[in-house]
Amino acid sequence: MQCIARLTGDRLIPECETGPLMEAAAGAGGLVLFTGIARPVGKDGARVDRLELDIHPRLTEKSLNDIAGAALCRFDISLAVAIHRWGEVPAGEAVVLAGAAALHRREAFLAADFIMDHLKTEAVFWKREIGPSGARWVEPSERDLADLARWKD
Amino acid sequence: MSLQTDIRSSERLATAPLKVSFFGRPSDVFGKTAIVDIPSDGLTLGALRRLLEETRGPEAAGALGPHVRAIVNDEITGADLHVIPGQDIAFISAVSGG
Repeated sequence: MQCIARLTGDRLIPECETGPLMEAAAGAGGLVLFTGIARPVGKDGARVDRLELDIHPRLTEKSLNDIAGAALCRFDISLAVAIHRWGEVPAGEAVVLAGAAALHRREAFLAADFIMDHLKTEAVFWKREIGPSGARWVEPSERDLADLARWKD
Repeated sequence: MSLQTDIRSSERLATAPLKVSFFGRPSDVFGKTAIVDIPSDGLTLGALRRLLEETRGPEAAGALGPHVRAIVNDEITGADLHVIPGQDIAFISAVSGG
C-alpha cells in the first residue's frame, strides 16, 4: 500500500503526474484520478480570475497525508493520491489531483470519492476567490458538508 | 540613574516577544505574522487574543473571537491554554478545504 500526498507551489499538470502514478499503481487493475479545476465563477456567478490558497507550513501537508491514509485504511486499495496546489491558481488550471488504485475499479472509485470529499472540507487550506469585485474567503458549502456526511459511520 | 536602569532592566525581564501567525480571515486584520510582547511567564490564549486586538486598535475588535481557533505547537485547540514565549502560536479561521 502506498500513499502519495504532497503539496506543490508550482503549476499542477495532470498529464505529467499520470506517468509516475501509473508506475506507483503497478499491479492494480485500475487507477482512478480526479482533477479539480479552479472555477472561473463563484457560487454567486461572479467572475473569478484566480484562487489564492494559503497553507500552514506543517499542518496542511499532514492533513493531506491523514486523508489519503484514511482512504488506505478504509478501502481495499493499493494506492491513495492527494496532490494539491497552493498559492495563486489562475482559473482554469488544476488545483488538486485525488485518486486511488485498486485491483477492482469499484474500490478505486469509492476511495477517490472519499478522498475528494474529505479534501473539500477537512484539508487545511484557507482559500480566497479573487475577481473584479475583490477577494472573498471560501468555506465548505452545504453540499460539501452533505457529501462528507455520506462517509460517517 | 542607577535606579532607572534597574527599572528598565526589570521591565525587559518582565516581558518577552512572541511571534504569532494568522491564517484565513484573521490575516485580513493582523497580516500574516505579528510580534507582541507578552509576560515572560506567559498568558492564556484568551488574554493573548485580547492583547492582540487591543494592540491593533478598534478595527480589530472581535477579530479573534470564539469563531477563531488557535494552533499551539501544531495542535489545533479550542481550549484556553496557557502559552509562553517560544511556543509556535497561530490563530485560524475555519479551513476552506481544498
